[in-house]
Parts: sequence; structure tokens; C-alpha cells
Amino acid sequence: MGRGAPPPPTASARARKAAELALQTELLHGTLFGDLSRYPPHLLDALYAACDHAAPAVLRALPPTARLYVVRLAHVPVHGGDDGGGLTPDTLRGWARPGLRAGEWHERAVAALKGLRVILQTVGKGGDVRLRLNPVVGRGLRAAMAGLTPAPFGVDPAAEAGGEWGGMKASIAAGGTYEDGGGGGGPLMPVEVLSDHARRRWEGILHFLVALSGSNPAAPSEAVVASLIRSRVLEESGEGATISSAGFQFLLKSGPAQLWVLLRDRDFLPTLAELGVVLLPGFAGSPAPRRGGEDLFYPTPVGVSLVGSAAASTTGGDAGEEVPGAGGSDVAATPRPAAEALLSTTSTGALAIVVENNYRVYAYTTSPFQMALLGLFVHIRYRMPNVAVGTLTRSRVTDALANGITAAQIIRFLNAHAHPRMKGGRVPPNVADQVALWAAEKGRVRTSPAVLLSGFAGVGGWAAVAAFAADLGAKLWEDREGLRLAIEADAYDEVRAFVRDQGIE
Amino acid sequence: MVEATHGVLVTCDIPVKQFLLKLDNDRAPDRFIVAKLDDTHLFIHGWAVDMIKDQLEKLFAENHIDANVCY
Repeated sequence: MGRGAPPPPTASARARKAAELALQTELLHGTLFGDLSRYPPHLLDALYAACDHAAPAVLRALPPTARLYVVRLAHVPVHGGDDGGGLTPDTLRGWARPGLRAGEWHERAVAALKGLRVILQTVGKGGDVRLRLNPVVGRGLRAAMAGLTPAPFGVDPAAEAGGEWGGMKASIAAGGTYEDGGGGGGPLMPVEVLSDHARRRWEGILHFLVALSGSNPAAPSEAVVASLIRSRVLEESGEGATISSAGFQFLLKSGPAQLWVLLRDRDFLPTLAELGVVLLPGFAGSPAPRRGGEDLFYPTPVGVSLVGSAAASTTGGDAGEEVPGAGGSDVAATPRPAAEALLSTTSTGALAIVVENNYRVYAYTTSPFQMALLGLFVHIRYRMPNVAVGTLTRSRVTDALANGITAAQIIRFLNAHAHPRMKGGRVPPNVADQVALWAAEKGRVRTSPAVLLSGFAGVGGWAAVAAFAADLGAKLWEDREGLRLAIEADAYDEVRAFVRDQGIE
Repeated sequence: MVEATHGVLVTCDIPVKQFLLKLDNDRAPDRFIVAKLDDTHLFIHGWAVDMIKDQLEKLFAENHIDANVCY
């Protein structure tokens, strides 16, 4: 065969494309708990043992079926009779309701549970497989259900009820050891101040992404910009950074999912303060605490909601395409309180959008960031203190599509923030269809540099070349009757060598 | 003898193909279509790619009614 040893240029191009795709998938679907399941077992066990909140947080992250299993298992005696305790896989499968997709959900649930080491699998003496709940997780869950777990980040329940959260020793957390001592015990900070601070910092970053050069009341520092570049939300270009197409998708993700993308890159306190996850007194622009709180940091609701972020992020959240394999019904069935909590903290009163069937868009929001975000695909006509009025136009939508936002994302974003008074709570069907049609316009014509092969003497030679080109992944079009074949221009040299070597006429 | 023609393969829907055929006729003798392959495929000269994309963009824009004229 005439296939050369060095990989053909098309193959390397394809490999690069695949790598880019993988990176995008990583960026879009990488979540806290996806990352966790790649941890070695002993680290996971240590995590569950070290932190009371790990078990409930994992519970929230699981798919609904898995969540049900865990809640049931938490109350099944771990050490049973002679058989060493636990359940047989068949017993567990028996819990799933017989139905078309129940088996699939069951498999997914068990895989997730095993991946996170929530369920441990043991093989007994007779070779029989037993499943049981990780005892550490079980303890944490039972404590959480009984309300025995202290609130996260040392929030004093009494103080919280009073509308103020206690501080935590900055030095402790910065040192990396998490000592859960119940209430923080420092001077208190009003919750409104914390939420307001968090909202302003976080929106500053998102606003920066939308309008890189525009005026920004809370522009992020160089460190955050560097982190955004490392997370590939921004791309470095000739003059400064520009937002990447993955970055546009990042903007439409749910808050916790966005946060996690950035948190994966860094873990030290000043940056967290910059992101609005914590409030670090004395840090640029932070409100000062009452006296005595200078060496404390204060977790904001954004930070707290990270613990509960998973339900949103594992089900795809508001992000791009559905995660392959994650059933659509799961997505619909999962409540997303954490995401909503974050949305309501990051946007002063949630964003409420009315879309009329004449493409007019009314967005009730006071946040300049939300207006700028909408401006990505809505032609904003005028702005008033609490509402922006604009139109979905073809030019604006096609610009957004060219930037890597998909039609489905636009519609999902508008649906997710639909005004409560909007009929059916959804974008009018004609508008949704039109956006999809504008997107389809891009795909109406595809061009690819090609070489047209014709003049084959017989169908045998034609079929051999067609099969060879298909093997290379370079076959674009074939015509068996006319004995014609179109192949990628890049692969022409190889195909020509093949034709010559095989003596095909 | 196997013949090879370099060019660009255009994959499109049927209406777009008809539009391109008309465009090709209008531009005679400066034709850009090398071979009409089937209902949804054309083989054209490489130099025409940008031109036909511009023309199609114009066609789509003409076919679109801007809902915002009344402002």
C-alpha cells in the first residue's frame, strides 16, 4: 500500500481539531465533582472524613436516581448478617422502577456513586459482589439529615438568623487547614454588605469579558485576567486579550459553573477576594469590618453557594450543549436551588426578560453587566434605569453566532430568565425558530478545498480509491455511476501515490 | 486514466444550488462552476469562493425583513 510512514498533514490537522474539541468540552463541562471523581481513592476518603460538608455536598451533586439510592442506603444497616453486609447489585437494581429508561438511569447512578466512592464494592468469599455505602459518607449524611452539621464556613446559625455572619481566621484558612470549630466568633458583618460586595466583584469580571475596553466600575486585576487566559476564557492576541469562543459560552453558564472554571486555576485568598468569594478586609475596595476584624476573612454567599453548586453544574447548567449521555429528563427534573441562589445574588434582583413575538426584548435589570451581556445578541435600543429595550436582529444574532454562541444557548438563556408574566414562560416559538433559522443559514453552504477525480477506467479501480480515501477520512463526495470522487485537497498527494502504486487506470 | 481537477467542493441545499447556477449563467463567460455533481454538490474554482459567499450573504439579507424599520 502506498501509505507513507509519517502521519499525513490531514491527520495532524484532525488531531489538532480533536484536541481543541476536547479542551472545549473540558472547559464547558469540567465541574467540581467531575474533577473529584478523578481523585485517587485515599484522597477522596480523606476528604469525606475531614469535612462534615463533603457528604451533603456530594449528595447534591449526584443525579436524582443516585441521590435517592444514597438517601435509602444511609439508613440500611451497613454491617448485616453472615454475608458481611451490603446489598447485591441485583437488589439495588430492583430499586429502579421497571421502565424504558430506568435501566440506563440506574447504570448512570451506580457509575457516579462508584466514581465518587460513595458506594464501595467488595467481593466476598464466594466471589459474590456486595455494594455498600461508604461508612464515612453515611455518617456525614445522617448527621446532616439530623441537622447536626455546623453551618459551612463557620457561620454561626444564631448570627445568621440575626442577619450577620461571623468572620473566620484568615490565617487558618490560608494555611490550608480547615478546622471546623462551629461559629467563627469574630466581629459580625451584615449579610447585605457581603452579598453586595460579592455581586459587584463577580459582575465586574463578567462585565470585563463582555466589554473588554468599556468603562467598568470593578475591573478585575491583572492576576484575574491572567487566570482567565489560563482557563482559555480569554485568548491573547496582538494587542491585549480578546474573548475566545469558549469564553462566550462561559458567559452563559450558570454562576457556580463559571466560578468553578476559575477556581480550578487558583486557590489563594487574595484571588478569592478578587472573585468575590470571600471578603478580605483591607483588600482593594472592600468595606472595612468593625474594629477587631482586620485579620479575618468573610465568606460571601457566592462562596457558600459553591458548596451547593454541583446540582447545577453536573446537569449541564445553563451551559452549552447537553452533556452527552446526560438524559434531558434528568436535567429537567433536577431542581437548581444553588444556581438560583447565585443568580439572585449576582444580579440585583434577577434578570427578567420579556420577548415579544415581534422580536422586541424588554430586559428588567439594573445591572450594566446584564445589559452588556444581552447586548451580545440583542440590539439594545434604549436603556432606562431599570429596563433595557432592544430587538433581536439578524445582524446581531449572526455576530453572536460567529463568536461561538449557539442558537440553542441564546434561546435557553432567554428562557432561563423569562419574565414571570411572559406567556408560557418561554420565548415565543416564532422567535425561537427564527434564531434557529439564522443559525442554520451559516450551514446552508459549506465549501472545502477539494480535488475531483474522474476518468476511472473501471468500477474496481474507482472502488479501491474510494475505499482508500474513506480510510484516510478524506472522502468528501462520491458518484458510483459516474465513477467520480471528490477528496480533500490535503490528502491529494497520498491518494495520488496510491493510484500510481496500485496502477489504477 | 484518472484525471484530477483541483477546486472547491460546495455542499449546499437545493435552492442555494439553483441560485449558484443562475449566478454562474449571469457571469458568463466568467463561469466559476467546474462540474455540477448532483442536487446538493457543485465543484467550483477556488477563486470564486469569496465571491459566492458575498453574493449569498446579499441574498439572505435581501430575503430578511428587518422588524425594526418602524422606529
